Amino acid sequence: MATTIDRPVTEPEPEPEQGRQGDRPFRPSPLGWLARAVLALALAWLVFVFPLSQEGFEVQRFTTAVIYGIIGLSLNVLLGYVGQISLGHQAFVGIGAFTSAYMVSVQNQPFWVAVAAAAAVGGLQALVLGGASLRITGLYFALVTLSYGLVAEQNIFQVEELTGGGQGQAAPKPAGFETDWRYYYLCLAFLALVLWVDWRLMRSKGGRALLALQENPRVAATFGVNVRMLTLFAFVVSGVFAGLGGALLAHNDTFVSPEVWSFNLALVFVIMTVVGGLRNRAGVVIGSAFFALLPYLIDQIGFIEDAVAAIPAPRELTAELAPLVLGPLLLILTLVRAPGGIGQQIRPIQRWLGGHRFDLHDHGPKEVKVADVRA
Amino acid sequence: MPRRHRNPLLALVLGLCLVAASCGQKSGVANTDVAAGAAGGGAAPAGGAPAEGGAAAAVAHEPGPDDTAGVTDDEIVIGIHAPVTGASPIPQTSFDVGKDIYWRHLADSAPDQLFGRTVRVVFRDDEFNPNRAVAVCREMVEAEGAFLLIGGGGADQITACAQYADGIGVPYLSAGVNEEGLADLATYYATSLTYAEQAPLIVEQIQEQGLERIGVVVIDTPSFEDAHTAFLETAEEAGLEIVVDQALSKTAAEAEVLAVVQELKGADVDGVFLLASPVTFIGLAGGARNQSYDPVWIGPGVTSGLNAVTNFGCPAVENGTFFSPFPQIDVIEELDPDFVPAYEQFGEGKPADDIGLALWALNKTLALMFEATGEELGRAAFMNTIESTEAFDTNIYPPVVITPEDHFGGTGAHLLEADCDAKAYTTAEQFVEGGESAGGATGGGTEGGATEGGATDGGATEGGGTEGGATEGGATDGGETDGGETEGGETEGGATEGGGTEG
Amino acid sequence: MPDVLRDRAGVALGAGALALIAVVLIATGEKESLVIGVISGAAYGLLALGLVLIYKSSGVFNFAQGEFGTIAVYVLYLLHFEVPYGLALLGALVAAVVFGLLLERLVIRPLYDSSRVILLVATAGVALLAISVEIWFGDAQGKTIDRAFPTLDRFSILGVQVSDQRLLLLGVLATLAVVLALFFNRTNLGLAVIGASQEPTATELVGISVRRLSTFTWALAALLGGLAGVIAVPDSGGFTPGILTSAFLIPAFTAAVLGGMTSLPGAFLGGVIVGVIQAVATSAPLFDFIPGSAGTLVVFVVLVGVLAIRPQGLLGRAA
Repeated sequence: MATTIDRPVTEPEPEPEQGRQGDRPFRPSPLGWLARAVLALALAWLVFVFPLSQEGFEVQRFTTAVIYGIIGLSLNVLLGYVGQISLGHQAFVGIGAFTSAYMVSVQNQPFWVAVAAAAAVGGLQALVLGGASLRITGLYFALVTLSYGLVAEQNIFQVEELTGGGQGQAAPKPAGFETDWRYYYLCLAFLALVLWVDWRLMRSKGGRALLALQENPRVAATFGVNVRMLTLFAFVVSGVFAGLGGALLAHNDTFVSPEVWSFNLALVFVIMTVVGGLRNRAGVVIGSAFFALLPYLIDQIGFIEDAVAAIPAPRELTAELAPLVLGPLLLILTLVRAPGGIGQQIRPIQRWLGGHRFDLHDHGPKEVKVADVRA
Repeated sequence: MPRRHRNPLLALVLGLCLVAASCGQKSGVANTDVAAGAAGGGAAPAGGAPAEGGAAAAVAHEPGPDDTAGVTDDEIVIGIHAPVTGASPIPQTSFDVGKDIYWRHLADSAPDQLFGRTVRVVFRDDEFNPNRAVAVCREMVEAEGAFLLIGGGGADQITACAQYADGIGVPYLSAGVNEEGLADLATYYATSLTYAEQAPLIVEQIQEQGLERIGVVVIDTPSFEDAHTAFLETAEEAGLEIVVDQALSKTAAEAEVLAVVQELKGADVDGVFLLASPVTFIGLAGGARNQSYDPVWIGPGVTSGLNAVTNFGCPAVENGTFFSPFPQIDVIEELDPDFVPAYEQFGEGKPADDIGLALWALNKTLALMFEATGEELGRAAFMNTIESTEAFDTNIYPPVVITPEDHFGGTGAHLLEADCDAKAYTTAEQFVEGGESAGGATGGGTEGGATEGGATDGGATEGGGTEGGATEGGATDGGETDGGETEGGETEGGATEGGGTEG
Repeated sequence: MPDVLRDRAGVALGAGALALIAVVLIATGEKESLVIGVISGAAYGLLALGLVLIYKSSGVFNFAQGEFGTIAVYVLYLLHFEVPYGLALLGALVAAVVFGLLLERLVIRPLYDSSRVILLVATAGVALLAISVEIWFGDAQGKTIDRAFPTLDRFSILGVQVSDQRLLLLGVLATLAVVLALFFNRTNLGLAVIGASQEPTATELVGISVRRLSTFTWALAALLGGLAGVIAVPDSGGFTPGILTSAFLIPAFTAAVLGGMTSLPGAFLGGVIVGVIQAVATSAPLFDFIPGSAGTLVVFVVLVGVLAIRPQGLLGRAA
């Protein structure tokens, strides 16, 4: 019972910012609003207009970044909201990708049906795994997902009917979105949808209960929270997002092959979500996009490339290899120095944009905790 | 701490997203048109979708709007992809150095060749991953403006990228791998025998070596199905006794590899037909050696016959015997005396190696093809030319014979045997003839072309010094230079003994 | 002594299961799989020992355990050209321990108060970093390395030749499993390590430095990982970057879970059982219908089955 004394969570706590605002309401000056509008427009330009100036295959990379955002949000539901780590998320995503490609190429279904099927299959497999997670918790569950990812890679994705064999299954872009630019906006719209769903769900009673669950499952249960149902529900949501992300990835590459879904990818997914900042949507999306674009950034931004090339080593650190070296480093730095991730670091800017005062030291809640599991 | 507060920025971004999702499509349209014109080849890749049918392959190529992309008055850009990282990598420095030595040699020794054009080679690592391969192929076409693409190794990557190239009408060349997934492509060309086509050679070699109990170990990937079937059928026709037929996972654990070794050993197999990546081969051979069990490992292969394998796998791979599109470095002096000096001149101090040789041979074939196409070099003209030219003979690769019906242009192979004293492969037989596989995976109508080629080539090699290469060189106008240079080196007459192929 | 009783029940259960498998295998003519399983499972077992050690002492699932071994292998490879093999081995083990100490100091200790999940993510990140650095500094090419004991055909068990090096691996594994188990149960230091993991504050109060204990256990785990690498890898064909993570870590975790995650002899037993399962799944015609690697799927089923039915594993203590 020591835990209840530790942190009694009966209701979600009142938001601290409201308290501060209540004392002394702050309204930005017209100039302040202008500055905010300029920054908002600049961001919008970066997201909506800038990719248009790029070549087709570069746009494909931006699209990948957007889809990684969806995948990051999917993992965030498990890791951030439920506190279960998935080390086999590449399998969730991969099954969505193959389902969609299979529906389009083999079953001749339209894109929309295929994407819906991918999301449904993603949700279904997550439901099964969620069922297992009720019995197998914490670190052991991580192990099960890890092993499941391997099974997906070495068994499920070897089923030729589903995957089209080693050469992969074709996944053409949908009618009306054949060009990279249109497909980019389609994926942006899907990301917006996922963000919206995620936001609505987390604001619902169930979502709030989920967060309470994070603090302490037993106490939450005594307050009438149906832990099992909520956990399963969160798994399904995560699976649906992952399946959707997978389908979008497949059609972005126009085909999908079994080689892609390795354990390394699962690690990249975990890294980008954690570096982005658990339970922080903007952070997760930025973190995910950042990792998807890292090779591009190293390639494009001269001084990064120079800096990378200047590292003394027997061999040059190539743009392909650099993310693999820098990614884990960033992860460890994030965990050790700033556990809130990018989300926490950008919070002052976010709040400033929202019409608050700029406070460099406002990092919100001190620590973003993941439920401690002692399996 | 629950983060329940509403974030106004998020609302803003959401709103913008929804608005722009609709507006953006329009601007996307405008941009696409511009970019498709400017970048060339940017429009809607059909991706991995196989062409509608085999018939497509026979259609003559029409010049398209971006037909001459990658070619200027003084430059041709070609793109090569191969795995230098990933599950089964090929040494990167060899690629970095070797990719354009032939072209530098050509520009230096015969600047008038290729109608005054130089060739720029772009190389990308595909990480042994088909999705990555397509991405780098696309980058090479769109950003680097590659005129054509070349697959350096790795069946699945080659297939994936070839399908992409077919979708956008870009010629794609590689050494022969699988036929499945490639046979229907209009722009794909194999410059050597496919795995399935090598089945008769392998069966013959097995008989020659007097191997009696044969085991088959094939990596569990559908890409190898056609070659697997072709071998089984050819072996059955030849009356070989196959006692073990085992699939092995690409990422097999040690216990799995050892279990397969034990099965082979238990069945007293003395020759193993192997269709696997070098890494799997070395694992198997190592496992067998631990059991003091040394069967002959024989198979088709582009990469299993590389010295990287003997460097890594000796002494376990001592009994490796592989057919390869190119000979090993030990006989290059007689086949093409230019190779070693060119490497000394342009190799940046790196010793000439077999990967460099493979690239040299491929580039040399390409040079013949460019010359044959003439000054008006475009993709359609290029493909029509290589389909109508009788043969391209570099005297390194066996002559390449491509017809509109049959894009698998290989006519023979070299037999390589591992020599662990030297930690290298040696060329046991040169220019072994090959024909169609018993499986006939390419379908009808192909025999004609291939057999003809085979006959020509047979004459060429058996003739020794004055070889058919000259004849073929005449057909492909630029050929004289190279043919002339290489004729000096005499091919071993005895090398092409048997020849007992269907052709 | 209920704990000991439970352990005995577990030992009996594990040994019984193994005996049953053995009887079935010999009866069905798969006796080679048994030997293959044992000799290839020994590597899993040795890696699992390190996993159990860390889990026992700090509750962390250490995903970098495999890379302790791979780093050692790379150092051995580089050094054995320059110095005698024995010295190279020593250098390799020192390198593994240094890596373990750095990991403890730079990553584990700052995260002392974080959740176990975060620590898991951190060690996975370290593993990925180590693999990337191996690719970067070496190259992606496969390499082979000589055995310390080159004789291959001295011993033959049930028709399978077992190299001297492999016997060494088995011997080291069995010895370490027993010695470490005794260490944790009988010595003051061993008890202190367990105490520090269960009651850190109380441990500090009686004057034992939890930090020093943490340093000690990570160094020891790194040494075990290094040993697994330098003994197992030279005997199994060759190595590529991240070899012990990609090929050994998941079976080793499964072995540790099977053995109970807190039991050192259990890790040994689990490793052997996982090896046998893999070998049988590959050679038995029963599993031919499975696409791809049958071993992977069967190991997964066993893992989920054990966790669902007997989460404490064969030799572990019930939660």
